[in-house]
Amino acid sequence: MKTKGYPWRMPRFFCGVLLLALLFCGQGHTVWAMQEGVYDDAGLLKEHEIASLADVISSVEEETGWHIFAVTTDDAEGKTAEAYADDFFDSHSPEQEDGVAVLIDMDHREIWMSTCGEAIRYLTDERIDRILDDAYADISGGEYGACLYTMVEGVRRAYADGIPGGQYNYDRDTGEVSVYRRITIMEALVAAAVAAAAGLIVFFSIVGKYRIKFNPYRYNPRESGRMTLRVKDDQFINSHTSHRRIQTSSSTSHSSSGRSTTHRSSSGRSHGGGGRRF
Amino acid sequence: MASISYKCPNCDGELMFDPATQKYKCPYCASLFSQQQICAMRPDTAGAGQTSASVQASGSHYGEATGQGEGSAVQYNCPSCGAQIVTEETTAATFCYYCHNPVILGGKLEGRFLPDQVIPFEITRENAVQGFLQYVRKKKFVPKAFWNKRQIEKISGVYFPYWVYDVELNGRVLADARKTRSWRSGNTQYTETKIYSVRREGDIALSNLPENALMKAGNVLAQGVLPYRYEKAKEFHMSYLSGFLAERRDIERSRVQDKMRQTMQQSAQQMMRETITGYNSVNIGSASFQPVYELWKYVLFPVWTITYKGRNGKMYYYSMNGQTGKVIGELPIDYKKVTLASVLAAAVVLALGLAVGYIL
Repeated sequence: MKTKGYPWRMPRFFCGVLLLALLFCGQGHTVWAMQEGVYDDAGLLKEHEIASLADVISSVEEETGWHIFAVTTDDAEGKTAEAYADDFFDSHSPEQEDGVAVLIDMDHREIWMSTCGEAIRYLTDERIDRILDDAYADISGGEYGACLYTMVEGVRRAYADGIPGGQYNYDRDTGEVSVYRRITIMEALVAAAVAAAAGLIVFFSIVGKYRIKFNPYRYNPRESGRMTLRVKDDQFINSHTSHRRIQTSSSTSHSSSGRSTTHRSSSGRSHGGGGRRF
Repeated sequence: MASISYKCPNCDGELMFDPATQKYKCPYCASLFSQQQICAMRPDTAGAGQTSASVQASGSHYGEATGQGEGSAVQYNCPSCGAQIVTEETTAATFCYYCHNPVILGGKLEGRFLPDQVIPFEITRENAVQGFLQYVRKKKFVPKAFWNKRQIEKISGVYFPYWVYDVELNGRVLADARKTRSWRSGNTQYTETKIYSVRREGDIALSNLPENALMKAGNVLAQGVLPYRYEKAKEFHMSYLSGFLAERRDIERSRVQDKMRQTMQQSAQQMMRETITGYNSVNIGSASFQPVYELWKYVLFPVWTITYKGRNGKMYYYSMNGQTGKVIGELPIDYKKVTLASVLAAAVVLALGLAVGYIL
């Protein structure tokens, strides 16, 4: 991050002049980027791209309540793109666990999305793949700003679509599965309807019983009858056999479409994500 | 028509049937007499309600109906005090309004109205009151302050008339039955269906189907006290009525026999159907049941009738089986309690439903 490199011990006046100079020279985007979640460390983005990215990040953050970071770097500090994105998110959002960091790593020539917290549930492997498909088209054409923008918009879409049915987190290191459990509106409505029916049955059966609405006596032939069978004949007529093919189901009980593969970052947090080389 | 009362040979008091001892008890000298002793006193009173030395009858014949048809009032003389007793057309045993002695209106149960059997009372009046109070206290949804022993306005032991039907049927059932077996081989599920033609023929004897024979009894209360233990039924003796009220039938067999025959045929078919086992599905093609023997019995069943005045001023009527103690009657409802129970049930089901939705 640029802030780390600032000469803190310089006189304030000199610092102010330097900042102004940077602004007027068109290099000030890094200053704005810090404030709006855009960290163009690789200097790939134009000013209007940073502005529009900042806007979309702000809007998605407001919508989701997550932290969103759009990052470029030309020095991954010896880390993989995945580790760099994870660590970037962890260090810039130490309090807030929910969020996404989207990264253009020029060091490895790789784009990456790192998800954390609640965002892991929304951004399944499948959804990340789709977002990366779109983003890859941009970055192949050298459209870095558009690439990041596409990824952030992808996050917005995933949030709007909600957590997909059958979603589960799969820890690739331990193999642990954490199924997302929730009650859908339909399930709640069905449960409410069944509950209402049960309540009504209880109500009317009590009232009916107290008001003697049901036939209180029924003749029981088992108690008062006896039977002597003279003919007991069961004749086989024919038989037929039908068959049907059984649809093979997946060997696991969870489909891969709802999977969010996770791993631990260096800070110990659980992250999801995915990337693509360009 | 004679009115009869059974006199104690020791003190000339009125003998009454005692459900606790199943004997005849004199309320004055506490003497007990068995049915055999009563019959020995006057053998010809078995069913006809005649008089004897100890079975005193009023010779007066005031049995002329003052009106015609159902509900007509009829006058009798009390054999104890001579007072006039006015009864309904169907009343066969009652109490004198003046001396409160039991009076059996023998003529009402003569000829074609002579019952074939009677099931004597086994539950005493005291036990009936206790049983009734226990019954209502067990009911969770009646208003809490509703029940009070003092609110029992009237409790009467009444012999109600019923038709009881026995039948032997020659029956035959033809059916198609299916047996299915399913197995899996690789990715294919096989289902084999075997079809059988099933035939059953046999004799079915069904006994003791009761049907109310008194219009004013009301079907709900009359049917609600059923069933009775028929093995305790006795040959009818007029003396069983002593100490109780009794009603004569006003519903003739012709009015109920079709319904009763149909019930028995359905019961017979059900029994025969239950012998077709080991199949996954059974489809009855044809069933026929021919009665080869029928027995229609006219029987008096013991019922305690209870009139209860609710604290809301409304009268409630209950019937209790005088043999088994089963109670039937409309109960007042505390709707707050019922609503609470319903909401509770709904809440439990909702919680279970949501839990299932959450887990799946």
